Order: sequence, then C-alpha cells, then structure tokens
Amino acid sequence: MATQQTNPATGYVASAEDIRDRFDIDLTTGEVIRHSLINTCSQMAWNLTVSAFSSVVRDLQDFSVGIASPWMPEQELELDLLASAEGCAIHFFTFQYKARNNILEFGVENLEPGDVLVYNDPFRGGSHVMDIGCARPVFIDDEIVAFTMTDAHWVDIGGPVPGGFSPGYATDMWMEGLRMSPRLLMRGGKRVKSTFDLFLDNTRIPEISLNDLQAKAATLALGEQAIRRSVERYGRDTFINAMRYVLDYGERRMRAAIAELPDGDYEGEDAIDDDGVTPEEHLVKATLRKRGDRMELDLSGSARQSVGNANGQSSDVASGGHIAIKSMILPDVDTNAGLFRPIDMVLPEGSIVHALPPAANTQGHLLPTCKLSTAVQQALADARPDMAVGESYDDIPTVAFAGLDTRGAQPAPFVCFQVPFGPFGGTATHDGLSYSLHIIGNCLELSYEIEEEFYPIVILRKEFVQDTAGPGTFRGGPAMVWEEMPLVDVVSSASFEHVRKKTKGVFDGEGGHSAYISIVDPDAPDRNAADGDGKSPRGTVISGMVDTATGAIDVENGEFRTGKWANRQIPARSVVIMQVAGGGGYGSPLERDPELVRRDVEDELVSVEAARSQYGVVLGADGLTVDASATESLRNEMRSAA
Amino acid sequence: MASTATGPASSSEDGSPRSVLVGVDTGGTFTDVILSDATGRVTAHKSPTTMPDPSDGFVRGIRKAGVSGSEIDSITHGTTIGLNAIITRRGAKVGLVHTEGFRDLLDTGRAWRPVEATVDPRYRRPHEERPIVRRNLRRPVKERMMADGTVLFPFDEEARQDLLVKVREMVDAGVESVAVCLLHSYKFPEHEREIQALIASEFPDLPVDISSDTCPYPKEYGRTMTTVLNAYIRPITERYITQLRDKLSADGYTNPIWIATNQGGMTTDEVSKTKPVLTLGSGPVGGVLAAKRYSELLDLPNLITFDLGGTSADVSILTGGQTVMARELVFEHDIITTLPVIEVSSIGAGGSSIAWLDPAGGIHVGPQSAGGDPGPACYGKGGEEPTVTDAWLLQNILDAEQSLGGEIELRPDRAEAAMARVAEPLGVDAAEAARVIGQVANSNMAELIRRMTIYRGLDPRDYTLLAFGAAGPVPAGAIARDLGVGQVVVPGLAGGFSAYGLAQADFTTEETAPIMSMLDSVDDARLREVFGELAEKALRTVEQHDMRRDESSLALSFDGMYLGQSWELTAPIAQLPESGVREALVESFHATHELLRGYRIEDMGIRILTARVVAYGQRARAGLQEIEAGGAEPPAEALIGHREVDFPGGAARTACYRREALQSGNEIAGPAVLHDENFTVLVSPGDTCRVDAHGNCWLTIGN
Repeated sequence: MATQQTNPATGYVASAEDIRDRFDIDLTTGEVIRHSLINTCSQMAWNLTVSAFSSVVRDLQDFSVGIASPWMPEQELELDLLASAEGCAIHFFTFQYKARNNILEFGVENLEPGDVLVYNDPFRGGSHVMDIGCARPVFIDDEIVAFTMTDAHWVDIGGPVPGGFSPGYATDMWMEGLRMSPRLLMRGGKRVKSTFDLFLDNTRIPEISLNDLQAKAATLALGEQAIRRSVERYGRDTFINAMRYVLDYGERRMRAAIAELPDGDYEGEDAIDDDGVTPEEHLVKATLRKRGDRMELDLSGSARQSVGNANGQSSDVASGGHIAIKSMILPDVDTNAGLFRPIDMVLPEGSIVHALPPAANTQGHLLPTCKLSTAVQQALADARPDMAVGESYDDIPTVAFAGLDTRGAQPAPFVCFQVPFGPFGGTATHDGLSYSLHIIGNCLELSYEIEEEFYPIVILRKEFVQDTAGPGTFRGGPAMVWEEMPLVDVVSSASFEHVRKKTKGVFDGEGGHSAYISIVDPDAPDRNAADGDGKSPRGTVISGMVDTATGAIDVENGEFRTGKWANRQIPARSVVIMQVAGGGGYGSPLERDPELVRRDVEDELVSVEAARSQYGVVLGADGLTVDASATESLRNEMRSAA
Repeated sequence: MASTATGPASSSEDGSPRSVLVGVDTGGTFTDVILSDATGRVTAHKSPTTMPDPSDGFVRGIRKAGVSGSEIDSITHGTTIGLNAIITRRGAKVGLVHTEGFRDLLDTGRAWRPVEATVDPRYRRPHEERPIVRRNLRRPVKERMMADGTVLFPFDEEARQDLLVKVREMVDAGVESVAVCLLHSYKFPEHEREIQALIASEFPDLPVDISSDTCPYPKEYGRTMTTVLNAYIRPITERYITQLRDKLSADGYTNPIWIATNQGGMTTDEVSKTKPVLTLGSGPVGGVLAAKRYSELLDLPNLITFDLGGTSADVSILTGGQTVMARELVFEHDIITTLPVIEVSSIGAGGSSIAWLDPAGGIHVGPQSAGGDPGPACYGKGGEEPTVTDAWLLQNILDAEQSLGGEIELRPDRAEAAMARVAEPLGVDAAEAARVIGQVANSNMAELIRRMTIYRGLDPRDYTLLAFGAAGPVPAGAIARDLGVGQVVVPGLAGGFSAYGLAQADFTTEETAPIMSMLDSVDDARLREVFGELAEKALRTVEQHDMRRDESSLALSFDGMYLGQSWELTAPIAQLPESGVREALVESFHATHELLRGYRIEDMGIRILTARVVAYGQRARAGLQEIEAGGAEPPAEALIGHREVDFPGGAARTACYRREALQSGNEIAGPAVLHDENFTVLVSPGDTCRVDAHGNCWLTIGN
C-alpha cells in the first residue's frame, strides 16, 4: 500500500504537484475520472433495478454494482473496488473480495472479451449462497483494464427450504443450496448453456433466474461501455493512473476521518438471540484501537461458531465492520477500496464472526453484521456523541411464504419472500427514523398492491405500534407491525431477532420494545380485530418472550420462543402477526421536551400513561395540554428515585 | 428593467392578423412576460414578482407589455404557487382517509434512504421532519378490496357512520381539505367514490380528493402522496387563480387562463383549481415547450435542452420533436407526485454553486449554492466561498464590465480571494483552481446529459444542444465537445425563453384506463375498444375547449412490464394497425425495453397495466423576432475589444462582442465571447458561431 505523507498545513489534501509526482496524472483528470466512475455505477444500479424480475433485486435492491481495478500488483492495483452504487452496503467490501478470489481462481489469463464469470461460494470469499456474484472483464485490445461486477440476492438457489434462509434448520453448508465455484456464464458474449442449466435446474424460480441473469449481464455490459469511453478519451495509461489516484484519495479520506477521533481503545458488544437450533446466545464483541490515523477492529472474545446457520463469513463480517465504522465517522462518502486501507481487522477463526467449513451460514450473512454495527456504534458513542445513535431494530428479518397460487386458471407454485424493515434509534438532534432497512442495506419498499397481484397473500396491516419506541430525550422510532393473511395453505419460514430482549438506548436513553410473531387461527373470532398494542398479541405467540399463563409478551421473565423457524405449515386465512423491535432512545427521557411528548400523545405514538411513566410528563384532563408544574414535580421525583 | 427584443415584425404566412398571445412565467424574483402581437412581433418584458400575491406582478407585467386584457386572445401561465406551498409547507391543513391498517404510509415513505444516507443511521425522512399530513389527522376507514376486486371488508353502514364521526373530528381540528386513498382503488374505485359522496352529503363545502380521480395508477405510496399533495395545495391555488381571474376580467380578458401542466400541455384555470397537482412542474416545463417550438421552427428534431441558472442545471431531451415523459416528479426524498411529467432532470450545479474541497482534497461543485444573495464572491455582496461564476470570471470568460447588464459590478479581487480556499491546499494558483473547478462542473453537467442519453440508448451525437438560462451558454460548447455533440444553439430570446414556450403551447389532456392483464389474454377487439374510447373522450375534451378535432393529434401508449418485473415502462404505439393490434403492442414493448434496458426477452409474457391516450389540441403559434441582416463580418460596433481568456488548452487572445449588435449572417471564429444583457456565450478555439435571422447563435463544435 502507498505510504502517506500528510502535510501539516493541508492535512490529508494532496497537492496538485504531489498527485502529478505520485500518479503521473493531472488533478483535473483524476477528479473527473473519479466522479465519472461513481456516475457509471449509479447508472448500472438503476439499470439493474428497473429491469430485474426478482422482487429482492428490483424492489429490495439487495444487490450492488461496482467497478474494480484490473489485476496489476506491480501498480498496486489488485482487483480493488473503485466505485460502487446504491443497493446494499453489506456487499461493498464483500463483493470485490469475492470477485477477486473467484477471478484469480479462474485465472485472469483464461478470460476473453465478452466473458462473464458467475460464482456464489461462501467459502471462496463470498457471503451466503443466495448472493450471486458476476464479473465481466473490460478488455482494451488484449489487456484487461477493469472489471465490472454485480452481486445480487437470489430469491431461491435450491436447498430444502424455499427462499434459502432455512432459519433454525440447516446445520451445515450442504443443507443450504447450490454452491458454485467460478465458471463462465457468458463466453465471448454468448450464453454458456451448461452454466445456465446448472443454475436453472437448481432453483425453484427458473424463469425469474433466467431473466435476472440476463439483466445482470446487460448491466455489466453497460458499465463496460462507459469504461471504454473513458479509456478512449483519456488513454489507457492515464486511466490506470487515475485508478491509483482514486484509491489513494479514498485512503486519505478515511485517514482524515479517523484522525479526528481521540486516540484510545473503545469497546462494545451485542448478541444474537439464537440460531434457531440451540437456544444459545452468540456474543459479538468489538474492541476498536485507534492510534493516529489508523484503526484496528478486534473481534476477539466473540462467541464460537454456531451449530445452526447464524455463522458469519469473514468477508461479510469485515464488510459489516467497515460499514459500522463508516456510519460513525464518514457516512456520506462514496465507497472505494481506499477506504478500507487504514483499518485492520482481527477476526478469530472458528468464531461466529469467522466460521470455518462446513458451517451453515445463510443467516450469518446478516446476523453477526447487524450485531457488529450495534457493538461498534455503542463503542464509539463516547468518542463521537454528536454521531451516536440508539440501537436500531437491529435485524434484517426475513419471512418466506411458499405454496400454490390457485387464483389463476392453473395452479402456480410461488415463493413470496419478504424483508420487514424497522425503526432506527434516537440521535443527538432528533427522534430516530421510524422505518427503513438496517444500514447494512438500503431498499425500496414493495408496493403492497403489486405484491398482492403477484402472490395470494393479503397484507391487512402495516402500522406503527404505540408505546414501543425506546424513550429518550430523542426517542427511537416506533416498532412496526404487519398482519398478513395467506389466501392458500402455505409453508413458511421466518427469522426474527430481538425477540429475546429490548434494543439498547444510549446516554441514558432507554430500549425499544422487543419483537414477536403470533398466528391467529382462521376460525378465531378476533381474527380481524384491530389491536397491535405490542404486549398482548392476538393469537398464539410462536416467537417472543411469552408469559405462559397469559400469552402476553414479558421480555424480562417470559419463556423464550425462537424467532427463527423453517417449514411451518400455516393454513389458508390464518393471520400472521409480526412485529419488529422499537428503536432505542438517546439521552434521558426525563429531559425530553414535554411539548414533543404531548405531540406524540396527540399522534397516538405514546399513550397518556406512558407519557407519565416513561417521560414523567403529566397531561391535563383533555389529554392534549401539558401540566407544567405537575410534570416538573413528577420528573424531580423520578430523578431522585433513579 | 424591461428588455425588449426589437426588429422588423414577421407576419403570418398569408398576411392575415395573428392571434395576440401572452406567456407569463412567474419566477422567484422576476415575472417574465412574452407578447406575440397581431403582427407576429415578439417582445419580452420583465417585472418584479410580487409576494404574497403574485397576481399583482402578473397584471403589472402585462400592462408593461403595452396591451390590455381585451386585446389579448390567449394568456398562458406557468406558476410555482403550489410548488412553493409544498417546499415551504404552507399548504392547507389536510385530513387523510386511508384503508384501515395503513395509517403510516406517508411517514414510512418507500423505506429507502437517499444514496448519500446509505449508511447513515441518523437519516431523517422529510415527511417525518416536516409532515404534509401529521399522524393525528390520518383516519382509517373500515373497508378492504383485494387485488382481484373481491371485497374482503365491505364499506357498510357501520363503517359509514364511523367515517362521518371521524370527518367531523377532522373538521373540528381545522382540516380544510380531505384526501382519500384506499388500496387497489385505481382499479376498483367504488369505495372511494362512495366515501366522496358521503362526505359531500354532510360537508358540502369541504374539498375531497379521491386517489382514483387524482392519480389512478397502481402503487399505493405514490398515489397517496399525489392525492395528499393535491389536497394540500388546492385551497391556496384556488385562491390565487380566483384573484388572477378577477383582475384579468377587470382588465377585459375573459378567455380561459391557460395553465401549463407537468405533462407539457395546457389546462384551464378551472381545471387547475381542482387538480393543481397537474401544474406543479410548470416552471421548467416552459423551457421545454419553448424548445419544442424551436425544434419545429429551426427544423431540429433532436434536441438536448440545457438550462443553467444560478443553482441548478436542468436537462431534457426531445427526440423527433417529442419530449420524454417520466412517471415521477420529486420535490424532496419521497415527497413525490406519480403523474406523467415531462422529464426534466436536474443537478445542483449552476453559476452560484459553491466549489469546495473535502478533507482529502476531492473537489466538489455544489449542491450548496450561494444563490442570488449573497451570490458568488465576485458580486461583492458578502459571499466568501468560490463559485462557478467566480471561476469563470477568473478565467476571463466573464468580464467585470460587461456581464449581467452592468447591474452588478463583478469583482475579480473578491473572486480571487475566495478561490484561495481551494487553490492553497492544492498548491496551485487561483487561475489553475478556477480551471479545475470549471472542468469538474462541466464534467458533472455532461454526466447529467449522458444519463439522459447514452444510458438510455440515445447517441448524443445525433442531437443539437439548445443552451439557455443566464449561465447555460457559457459551458455549452465545452459540454458539447465532451459528448461529441456537433452543434449548439443559443436562442436569441434566451431571456424569457420559458415564457415564450408558455405563450403558444398546445392544449393537452390525457385519458387512461387500467387493464392489469397479461397482454396475451387481451384480444384485439378489447384493445381497439379501450384505446378507441380513450381517444374519443380525449378528443371531446379538446372540442370542449374550442379547439378543432381535425387539428388535434393523438399519442397512444401503454404501461407494461415483463411478467415478474415491477417497474413499468411506457411503450408508444404510433397508431393502431388494421389487424394485429396485440402483436404491435408486444413488439413495441420489446423494442422499448431493448432500447432502454439493453435487452429483450421474446418468450416472456408481458403484463399491460394502463392504456394511455394523450390528445394535443393545437393552439395559435407565436412568431420569432427578426434581426437586421448583415454580412459574414460582424459590424464594427459589435466588437467590444480583445482579452486573454483561459481555455483548457491554454490562454488565448479572444474577441469580445455585444450580442445584441450582431446581425443575421455574421460568422465568428472562436475564440470569442458574446455578451448579452441576459447571458454570455463562449465560443472556444476551434469552434465557430453563426448568427441567424432571429438572433440565434449557432455554434459548430470543432474536433
């Protein structure tokens, strides 16, 4: 890696002269190419979004696109990510690492113009088997000058459980779906039949897969054209030099951000509820050692690898670590591999953050990385109180319903795969975002109307739940609840976290309500009743901390029923109720502006009782005005009791 | 303040008197008025926009043009009143009635975060920060349609009584208008219509917008937001239009006031009172309409319009004289309307955009802008950060003496001091920094155009770049070179270009019908019937507005997607063939998909969502100004002098001309700068400029 000299006067800014000396390129060209690489990626991302067939790609945007450097170690270019776009942050690190491993295994020398490689093996630097990686070399004459890459989640890649996630079921990698070493999807611009067949013969969604493979190939070609234009315009050498400049720029950007933190060791931890096979909790422990403009993220002390499929791939966890750090010190900067350079990671082998074969890991793509982001955010809160946040719903829950759609002329098999989103935690200046995907991804919400056209599932409710937000000076976002009714018998799997405990607040902020899943029988009298108070769910709680006497949620003392299960039969017209966790608060709720509490009461996000018990705010008889003196004395009482 | 384009009048081809047309574009600072008089002579006038009631400035602007209302045949207006109400959140207090279970749609948005917040856990959604409809004014109604039209929960008597109680509560809470959006209502509007009638029966003065009327398209979020925004700006728009109507009537103008729509057509003041959401984007649309007219007049079917002002660059595309339509108008992240709109793509890069260095020396231009106040550092009004205008001044493209009509003295010393913020850390001088900033800004703008062309299968080399706006003609040549575009046209009427477009735009009306079926299950007879009915309805609307059916044109299209996709694509149909209608639709979809998305899938089923027919009713056309004819050599009085201008290839001695003094037929080889009161044209070395009979500058871009 390039050594850095920082100038005391200009910090991490490289002068035009330095840039010319080090990279033999003028500043303007370097900057123009840097911007254009980013633009090309956003264009590729858009192309894939609008043309994809799989709901997970087109709507959930569970994919990434990027441009990587060629393999020129003598130039310090080692298939490094130069720019990437939209989609899913968790791929940022993983997908270049995965591409590098697979391209080198296949052999750069074996590639030809118009080729596309495809690969998905978790143990070849990948994530989980459902993430299908593709890379296309960009040839200028006989030389590869760049790669365009995508990684996209496949709704189904075989295995015993539709949707692939197999929560609480798989205990080794052979139980999770088709693994593929690197192979040609396209050769010289033509489809490779044997690869397409391998793919299509092993998925429950061959038609979607056929088209999404083509959409990916078209997207990679689009990126290639853009790169060709740049090379034609600036020349091969300048373009290569610009890559080195771009990576160096990213490195300087990250160093500058790290340098702003006080030197020190910072610790945080969080735990996965369980893996659905054993009730064991899995600790993720993070120690950040910050010195000067470098940082080490050490995950020693994290739990051993799981029996089930909660196991993290080292590349995924490294990606999660980079995202977590970035979220606290450099959130709004375009990612390239230069950003990774100043950060070292220690990921102990055989642990939940670096599982070894033949570990199952479909859930491990998500769970350890979610927990790691909480651990890092909590660790760095004291170093950056302005950037600190209460814990989010801290999960990427998944639900799959599979069955036969009998609405049309002929029964058609379907797999409806959903990713419920949730709230974020409170911040130093405002309440937490009430609804989005965890920062390791970023997805567009499905239209329920379109969803109901495609699948025989009716979504009866998707609403915030009162009194579920973690109280704070700035509260977390409220929990979201879904009520869904399959119109046909379905086989279902789900993975929900934070079933076992509340989320965490920060700086005396309190946690948000825990998650649960319940099922209401088709013939239950209260099947369509409106409720959702989050504490005494209708139906039978199948996932949650349950008071066995009353059936209500009791997060402290209840009986633990796992949120991770597969292949559950659910009869037609049952109502499945799913609630994610509420976001954690920031700062003491007793310091919250009473007017904001009153407003929350008016908006029915906080009840009159909770305004009093959680925030010490007493409302007048009309329930809509603050009784200032009663509030003051109640708050004083609560402060001294604490 | 008034700038009047002078010159001999052009008359209509048969010499008969032409309609007197007025276009009025109310901007943030100025109201532009374009008058095309009975002789075809076109003049431009500016007067200050009056707030809070822009109708005063409107009428004053028309008086300034020297006509009275009774002499005018047609007034067309582009207004930002609704847009401003949304941006400043000064719209009406709206109540939302929604299907039970979906109270929080507005706050959840479409869940995604903008790209810059991809990994930002502190992100805040605009609707949560500054709600259009707060949670306490959203009320459920017990009803539920399923996707196939089966009623899961009926809207029964109990639900009706319950709803009336809720509406009463809303009215008591001060609600001024109500939006109703129910799931699947775009296909099955029965419940919404019942609710509208029910509320009207009890609250006859309460405006009620139902989504199946306002935005009859699938995807509940966009439909709800669109309907809510309509309800939000309806009272304020109605008040404004009524005031305007009264004032113009008093002035003797009794014809309809035509209001520009997002879709690039005109609608009447009456329609815009109840569906103001149709007119939200009418500002930039004026520019596109003017471009459309230029496309006809100058025989330039393929145009890239490039409008650069102080804070943003707006680009749109005309192919074969036709504009590109988009499905969404975005105001803030997920504050959107999902109605058809002329696609105008913007980036926050304009003359006042601020250039800044990040901590690693990366150069950024915008999106922060110094606006008009304090404006660029060189305005000397307190701006301390370097802007694009400062960079141009330091490159000597702008001239301290000549720019901005001499109204603001430009200060190179201030520009240089500001430029130090970028120059010093990079170890370069102010001139070098100015050059880098200029090129990064140009490259970003070129990228915006690439996004609208190359990435959609259009080759910019087949297009002419039409550059307007105060700043547009400066970088246009460099951007054209970057894109391989061979020709740039700068309209002589660049001041008031939008108002010129408004003055003569066609009337448009769109009719749509949801089909929501697999294309292969719909037979030719059904397609013919659906499109036929839509066309008939649209043409009748045209006739109701006193335009002739035989002078109207129709554009047919449909929204479709391959089975399994969920982002629809609008595929055009030139006309319905005698036979093989379905095959024609299928082929059009494949071809459109291939053009825009890069591939086609022959054996894949196509789902047809919505059939669309737009009717264009032809209205009177304005002429163009004409200027004095001259030879290839510009008249001596046009030459201001020479100065050193800094181009990417190095500094060059550059001739500077007064644009207004140039004559038809003049030819100028670059390097040259043409100064106009309203804009500056840069002709780079290797490029040439020819002035036509209308004062338009045609730049030929050298290699």
